[in-house]
Amino acid sequence: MSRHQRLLALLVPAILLWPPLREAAEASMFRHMLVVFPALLAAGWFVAGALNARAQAAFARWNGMGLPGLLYVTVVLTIWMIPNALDLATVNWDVDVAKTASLFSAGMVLALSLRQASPVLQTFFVGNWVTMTIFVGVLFQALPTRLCNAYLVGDQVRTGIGMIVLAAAVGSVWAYGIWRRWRASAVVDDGTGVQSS
Amino acid sequence: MRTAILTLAVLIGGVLALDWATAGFTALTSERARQLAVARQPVALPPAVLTTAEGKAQPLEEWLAEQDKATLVSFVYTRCNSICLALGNEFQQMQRQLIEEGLEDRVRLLSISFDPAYDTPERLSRYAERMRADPAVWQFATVRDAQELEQLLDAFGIVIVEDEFGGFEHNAAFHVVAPSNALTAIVDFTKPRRALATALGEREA
Repeated sequence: MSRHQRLLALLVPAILLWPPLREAAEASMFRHMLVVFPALLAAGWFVAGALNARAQAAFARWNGMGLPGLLYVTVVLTIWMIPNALDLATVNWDVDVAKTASLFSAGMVLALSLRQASPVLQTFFVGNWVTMTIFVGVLFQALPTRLCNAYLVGDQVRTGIGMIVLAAAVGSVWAYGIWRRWRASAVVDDGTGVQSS
Repeated sequence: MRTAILTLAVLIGGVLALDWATAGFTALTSERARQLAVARQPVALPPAVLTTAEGKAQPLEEWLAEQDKATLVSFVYTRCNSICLALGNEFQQMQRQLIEEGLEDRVRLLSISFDPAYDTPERLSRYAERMRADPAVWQFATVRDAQELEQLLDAFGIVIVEDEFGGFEHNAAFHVVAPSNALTAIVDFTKPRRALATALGEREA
């Protein structure tokens, strides 16, 4: 993908803040959390690839092991799972701009941090997100009351199910990747103590 | 070193963001945040003209000031089959308790419909009958002016969402309003006893 194509992803946050579309996208909790959020993260991820090597290296110097970056991503994803924050984003334009900017930047930071993080650190952060998302997803379904004043209770239940499915899918793909990597290294490390690569 | 600085900055930023999102680590939902905010700082209500079940038009401020009583307000619409009925049942029981204990001169009840297009005075008065409301204790009204209604709902923190069946979902609570036209407390609709106690306390304060 060329740099210009990647920069096209900058349009995603702008389009999502365009009032008519914003209203349509945020009218349902399911769309808001399971379409808008992933779209913003993905857009940020793509744009990160358009950064030149110098900018990436400069960020990497501040982002040792990807630790602060992954922490930032965790903070952003946690904040927007809080019903009060989500409600405020649907009502206040400035909060929504903050939401859009933070999720988009979290996508960028995620792309730049994952490759820097060791498999252990990666697994820690991904595992943490999967657990948290499943927990919140169960909560969304199990609570008899509405958590967001802006959303219907049926919508909340569907969102909860969607979050569990998404978290399970991400967790499985992740686990498969780790398993493949582990198997590859196990095959290479054939017990002779001589490691080839 | 740079990594440590950035990590610390992200941590501090994260705590501040969490503080904002949870209204100072006290609320996860906006409903709870609203209750706490009103308890800290009463909200002056915007001007709104009520249309009562008797068909009378009267500014809310005047209606509240007329008698020196605290008012428990709840928001409903008469076609509602779920939460409004629960609120109605609670108001019914409060009405009985107020009359039995001779407290009618201290607290009164007001159900405001947010669906003026359907809830005409006739429909409101029929609804009041169905609820066996005693007009001396419990009254029904709506706000006809769309802009006034919106501002009033905003001040009370009521969010109305249309559901798939042509009705509405809305947050429900008991709102304690002082004769001075100020919203002084919001109590969860599952805690009617506390709502009544708060209203009685409001009258004394």
